[in-house]
Amino acid sequence: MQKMLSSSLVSSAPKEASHNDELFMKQTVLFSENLNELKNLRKQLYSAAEYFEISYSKEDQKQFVVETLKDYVIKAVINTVDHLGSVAYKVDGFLDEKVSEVSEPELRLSCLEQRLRTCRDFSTQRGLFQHSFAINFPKHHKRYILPGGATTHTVGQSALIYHNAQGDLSGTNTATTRETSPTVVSEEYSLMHSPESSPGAFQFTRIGSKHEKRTVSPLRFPIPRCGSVKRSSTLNSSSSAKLRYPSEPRTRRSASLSLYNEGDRTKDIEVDSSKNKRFYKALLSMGKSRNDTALYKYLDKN
Amino acid sequence: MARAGGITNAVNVGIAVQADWENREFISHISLNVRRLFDFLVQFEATTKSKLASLNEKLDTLERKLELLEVQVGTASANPSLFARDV
Repeated sequence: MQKMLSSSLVSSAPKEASHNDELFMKQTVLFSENLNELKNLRKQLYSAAEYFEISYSKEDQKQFVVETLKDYVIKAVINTVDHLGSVAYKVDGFLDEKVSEVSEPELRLSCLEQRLRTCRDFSTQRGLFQHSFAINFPKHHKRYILPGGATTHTVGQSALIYHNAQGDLSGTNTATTRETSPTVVSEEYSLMHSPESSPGAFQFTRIGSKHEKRTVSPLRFPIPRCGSVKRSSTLNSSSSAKLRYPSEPRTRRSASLSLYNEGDRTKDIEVDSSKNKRFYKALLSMGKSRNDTALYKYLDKN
Repeated sequence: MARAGGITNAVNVGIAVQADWENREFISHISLNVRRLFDFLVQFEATTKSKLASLNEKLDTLERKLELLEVQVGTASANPSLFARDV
C-alpha cells in the first residue's frame, strides 16, 4: 500500500512539474505577445492618425470620418489599458514570486547561521570546560588550629609530635621544660600518664579549661628545649647533663625517640609474657579441676 | 427668404459649435485617460523598481552570507583539530 502511494506520489510529482512548466510556458508566451502588441501599438496609432487625417481632408463625409476616428481612439485606449493592466499584473506577480523564492533560501541561510552559531558556542563551552579541568588548583592540606594558637598540619603529624613530646618528656628531665612553659608540660604529662589512657596511645581529652592556657604547641618543643638545654648546661652541673644526654647533642632527639620506642617494646613484651603466664595457668587449672571459671575470667578480662 | 436663410445659418452654426464642444469633450476625456495611463505607468515603474531593488538587496545579502558561510566552512574543514576534541 505504501509502495503504491509512494509510486503514485512519485509519478504525480513529475506530472505536476510538467503541468506547471506548461502553464509557465503559456504565460511567458502570452506575456511576450502582450509586450510585442504594446510595442506595435505606437506604430498603429501613428498610422491610424495619418490615415484619418488624409481621409478627413479628401472625403466629403467628414462627420463619418470623425465618428470612425473616435471609435478607433476609444478602442485603442481600451486595448492599451488592457494590455498595460495584464502586463503590470504579470510583472507584479512575477516579482512577488521571486521575492518569496528568495525569502526561502534566506530562511535556510539563517537556519544554517544559527546552527553554526550553536556549534561555535558549544565548541567554546567545551573548550572552556576542558580548560577549566586543565587548571591545577592549589591543594591545601588539613590544618587543625589548637586552642593555644599553634597549628598542626595533619592529624598524623600532630600525633607524631605528641609522641615526640612524650619521648622527650620521658627521656629528659621535666625541669628543663618547665623552665620554658611549666603549665604546658604539666598538662601534657597529665594527659600522657593518665590511668585511663592506654600506654602508647594518645587521646585528645581535655582537662577542664587548662588547654586554653597552653601557649606553646608541641611543634615548638624542640626549639625551647634546645635553649633550655643550653641554659641547663650552663645552670646545672655537667653530671646531670651527662645523665640526661649521654650521647652527643646532635643525636639527642633520635636517641630520645629510640629510647621511647625501646621502652614501649619492653612494656609490650612484659604485658604479653604476663598474659601468656596467666593463660597457661588457666589452662592448667581447667585441666585439673575442670572448672572453666578461671578461663572465663581471663577471657572476660581480655 | 433672407430671414429664413439667416435662421438656418444660425442653426447650422449652433449645431457646429455643439459638435465642436462635443469633440472637445471627447478629446479631453481621451487625454485624461491617457494621463491616467501615464500615471499608472509611472507608479508601476516606481513600484517595480522598488521591488527589484529589494530583491537585488536580498540577493546581495544572501550572496554575502553564502560567501561568509563558505569561508567559515572552509576554515573549519582546514582545521579539523577544532572539532577533533569533540569526538
